[in-house]
Amino acid sequence: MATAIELKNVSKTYKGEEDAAVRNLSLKIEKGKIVTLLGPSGCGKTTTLRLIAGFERPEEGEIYIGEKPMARENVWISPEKRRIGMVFQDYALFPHLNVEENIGFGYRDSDREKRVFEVLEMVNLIGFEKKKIHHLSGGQQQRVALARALAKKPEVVLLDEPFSNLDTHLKQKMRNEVKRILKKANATGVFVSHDQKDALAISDEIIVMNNGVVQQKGSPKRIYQFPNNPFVAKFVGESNLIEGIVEKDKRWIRTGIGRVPCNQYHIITEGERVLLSVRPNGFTLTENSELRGVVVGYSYVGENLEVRIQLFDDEREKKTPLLVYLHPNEIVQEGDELGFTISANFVSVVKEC
Amino acid sequence: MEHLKKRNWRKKIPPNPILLGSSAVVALMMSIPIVYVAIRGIFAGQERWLRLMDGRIPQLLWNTLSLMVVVVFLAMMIGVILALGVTRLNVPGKKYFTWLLVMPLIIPPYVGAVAYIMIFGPTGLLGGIFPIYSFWGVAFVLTIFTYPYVYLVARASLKKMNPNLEEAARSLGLNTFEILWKVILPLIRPAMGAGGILVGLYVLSDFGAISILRYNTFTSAIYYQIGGYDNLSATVLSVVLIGMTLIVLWLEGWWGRRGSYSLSSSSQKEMEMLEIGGWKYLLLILMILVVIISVLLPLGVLSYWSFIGLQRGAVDQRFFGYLLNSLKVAVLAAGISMFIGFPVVYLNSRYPSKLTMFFQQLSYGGYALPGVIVALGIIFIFNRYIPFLYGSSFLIVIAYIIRFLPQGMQSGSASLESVSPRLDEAARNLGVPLWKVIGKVIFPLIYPGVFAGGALIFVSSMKELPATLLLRPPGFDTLAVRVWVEASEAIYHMAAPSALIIVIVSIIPIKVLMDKY
Repeated sequence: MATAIELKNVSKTYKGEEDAAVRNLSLKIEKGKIVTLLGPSGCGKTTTLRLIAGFERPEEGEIYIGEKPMARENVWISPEKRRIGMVFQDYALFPHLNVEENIGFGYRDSDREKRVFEVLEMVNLIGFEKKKIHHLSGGQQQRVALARALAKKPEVVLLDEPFSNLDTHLKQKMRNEVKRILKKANATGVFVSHDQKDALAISDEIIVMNNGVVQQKGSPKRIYQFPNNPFVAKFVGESNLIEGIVEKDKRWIRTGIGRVPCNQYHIITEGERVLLSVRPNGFTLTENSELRGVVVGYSYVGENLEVRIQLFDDEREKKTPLLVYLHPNEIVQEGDELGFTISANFVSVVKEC
Repeated sequence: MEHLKKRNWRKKIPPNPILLGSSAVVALMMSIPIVYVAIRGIFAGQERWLRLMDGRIPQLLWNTLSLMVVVVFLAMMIGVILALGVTRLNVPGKKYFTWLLVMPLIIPPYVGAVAYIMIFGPTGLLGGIFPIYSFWGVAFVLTIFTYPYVYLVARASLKKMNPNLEEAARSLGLNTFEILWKVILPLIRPAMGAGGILVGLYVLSDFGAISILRYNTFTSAIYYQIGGYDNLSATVLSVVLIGMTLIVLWLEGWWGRRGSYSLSSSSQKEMEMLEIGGWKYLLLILMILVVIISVLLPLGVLSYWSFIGLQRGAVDQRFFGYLLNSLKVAVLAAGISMFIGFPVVYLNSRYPSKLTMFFQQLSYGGYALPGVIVALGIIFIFNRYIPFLYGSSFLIVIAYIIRFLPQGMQSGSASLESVSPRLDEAARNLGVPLWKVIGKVIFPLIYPGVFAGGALIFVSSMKELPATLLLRPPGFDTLAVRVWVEASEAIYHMAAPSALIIVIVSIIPIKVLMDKY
């Protein structure tokens, strides 16, 4: 597959800041993929996006778009020459122009009218051509922003927290819409998000960042089920971190709460002390299991019953309660004693990095 | 070392060279005349300095400082009490006083001085009751026409105050007067100081009111030195006056650093008015008196003498000539300023760096300084280096730009701050070069602010007196000049119509001021 964007050892430190916003960052994004840079605020994800767009200049490293150099020693392509679409967090629609004029802004080819119509059709806004921006709803504004970014058929579209200004209901709808539109336009999409749900829902690939460094890269399923360090485990969804020692066949880990299955045998060795991340979804109620515990609290949140359970360890000594998601149909009471099994598909070996 | 240097250069996206260049030119143009005066003054020679130190300077220092202290003190008292009255105390009819109390700002102090000469002067209505040609006469006139600076700033600060603080104080058992004294006043102290500084700077720079009332401070002394062709002595006095201005500006920073609090209130609720019992009627009387003395009375006499002037044919061909002159230079100054301030403001907003900051500060050079000093600098520069323009009315335009461009820059910069830099980026991301971004995105969004700034410059230019007097070519009279000349010769019916037009023009920026604070 061809590479759409490549960053090689890129570093950027803002003036007056001690720490680098982005440190020695290298990543490759394949053509046609939807990729999300995910991380807490200040992790360097927005800086990365602005470096790709050309609004910031790296002090070290190289940036390529479609294999052409954009920034490196003695090369600097200014943002207006990069032919990248961008959707801004606050949409940055020009308030003095109408929908049509916004979308056609800076479009110089003779088929301007036709192209504006095409992208309007793509985002389902036919009939809104002459509307003023402030007469549009948040969702409509976002569609205009997306249409504007797509007008010049860019190969890469950057989207900076595009869903953060929408309410939950609209957010779900727009996630699907944006994904559909990007795929239809055959564009490579790079999202920046701090919302793991957005990231999981739209991405082909997620790049988790923290403190200016990439923590993990992979498909949403891989990131969720098999985080490879404690930060990813805690930031993407909830997780229980448990210490243990690898058993003989490397299929089981002996922990303080009992034996936990694990199928990442290729990265561990027998007798090694490891830290496990066990997702709350990985637990199943089982009557006669060696893993047993007492309910110390629960909250019903609709899609799940979130239960905090004090598991008994070998010496029947109490440890930190585990977070367990049960089917919302289950009924539990504080003080109930329950038995469990853990699915290896939600157990991951995490290492400090 | 070489390696480090290179890396630093690559860190920043360099600003557009054309914008950077033009902003450097503007910054230089704005600061050169003043810097020139300062340098000439400092190197004017020991003998001249000693002579002035022995004679003029101590007397002028005493005159200027005593006037400044008295006016600042009185203006702060009146301004703060009135601001409290309209924001926090249950004074009857305060809705109207809120804007009535700003109205003195439409009367430039020298016009106010003319009005009070018409009242208290030898041939005036109440002639001889109050010695208007005296220290206290000058202090009186300057106070009643400058207290609104304190009033506006204090009122803005009071409006922003978090009402929960007062409720907290009340729950802790403080009564109304204790709340005023221990909570409200300490919290608005920075604002009081800022207002007082504005008044102080005004007193230092005023020439019109002082000279009309025949008082002598540094500005009038400099003016008469230039009139007597002793420009070098004028530069020496200018250096002392620049020094005093810098001290006042430094005081502002010092006062601001000493405990300024963030007053911003997240609470949207209406503030409960403090009950002060019978005192409110005393305050009401004070407000009525202030409005009469600082607005109604001066406007009344000016209208009366204008009417007489109309009857005696003061509004003739020549009068319209003065009006046209005023309009010509003021419109030119405002028009040019709207263009040349932009690069400085835009660069400092979008590519902030030490250099752009420095350009902006240089451009503010003429703002706080008296018009006589700006005029002196222009006389030097043009006389020496650009003699073919010397003696043309264009010099007046330059002086207006140097003095008032910062007003336009403030206004433009405020509207630029409200335009998100994301819009610039969005436009450039769509492949549009910088100059087109400015034309198609930035200007359409900020032009109301730019024109508001232009209007401010226009009004200030219409009112300007000292630089116009010093720089005008022979026979080139503006309305402001006529007011000053006729009033000096006590021909009231000739002075009044010009003064009234200046007052009417000055109504324009009041709305801007009221919205700003």
